[in-house]
Amino acid sequence: MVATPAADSKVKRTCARRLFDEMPQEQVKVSGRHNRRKVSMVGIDTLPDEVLARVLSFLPVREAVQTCVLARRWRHLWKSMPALRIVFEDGPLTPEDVDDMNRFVNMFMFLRDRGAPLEFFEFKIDDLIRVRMNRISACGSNKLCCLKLVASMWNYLLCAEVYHLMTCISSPSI
Amino acid sequence: MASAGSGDEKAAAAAMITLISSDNEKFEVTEATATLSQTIRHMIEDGCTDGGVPLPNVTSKILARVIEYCKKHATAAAGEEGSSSSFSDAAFLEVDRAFLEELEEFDDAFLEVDRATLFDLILAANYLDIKGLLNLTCQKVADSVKGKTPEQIREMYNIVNDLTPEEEAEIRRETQWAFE
Repeated sequence: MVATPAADSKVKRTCARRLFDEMPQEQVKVSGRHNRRKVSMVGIDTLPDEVLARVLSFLPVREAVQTCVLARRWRHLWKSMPALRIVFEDGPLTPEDVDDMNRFVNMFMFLRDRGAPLEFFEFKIDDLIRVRMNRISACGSNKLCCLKLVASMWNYLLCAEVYHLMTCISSPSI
Repeated sequence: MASAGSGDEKAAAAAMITLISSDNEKFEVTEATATLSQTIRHMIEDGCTDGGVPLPNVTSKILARVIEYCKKHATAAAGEEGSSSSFSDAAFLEVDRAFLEELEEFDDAFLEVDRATLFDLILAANYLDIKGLLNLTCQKVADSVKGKTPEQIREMYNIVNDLTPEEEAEIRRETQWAFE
């Protein structure tokens, strides 16, 4: 595939920025791997990946995923969000809405990078209890610090899943 | 030190740390303020803060703001450890609530900065590993793009779309479940 001129210049600019961005980091333990500095333009691309993933985690989860079309770098960023806020509270739902949410949650959990640390997980369901949570427990193996779960109604399936999740959380982690 | 527990605590609270910005400006802060940064906390634990802590990634302008944030938020933690025994629980809750409100106001005012400064604060918070400040500043960025289309976000934040139309269409197809 032939790269467009825009793509080409972008690559060059990124490389040049990296060159200038190497800052001396002696004697300091740095948690983030890339601490890039802005050069002349104040674009959001000056922020390192882990920071952008954190920014996404403050967006409604659907919008966060939709940033995958912004540019090449953004394609997979949503998969490593350090906090998940899956909140549905749009009032009464039709069976179609429920199906949509099921599909969304399942796809989201299936595609999410399971190696990414998870600090916070909020799952809020106002009106429905039929969102299947079988994918959620899959992310419990990460280091999860805080879980907030709100549902107006509980059913057996939900309870079983939450129990599974709690078991994952309480397993020893550093 | 042979003094009583409370004496030790006082000594720890009074311990000062010198932070040195990239442009060589020195800032004296209490250990309680400095240790909001996990990066600096680890350095203190490793005993390598004598002679000051060089922060080659942070300018004096940004470091001053970061310290302002840490001072404000460190007082919350200090209040809990200090001489709290004289407070009844109810009075303590009341103080807590007032303080939290004040803290929220402080945070709002703190975020009234231009975008370049906001990004510098984010980078500093990330580098110094100050979770509260990092989340606060990241949330501010997220709020600014909430409800915007990809096109609007690109324009707003100078994101060059380096995807070909075919690639973008393919990604949309793959991620259709999120665009419905």
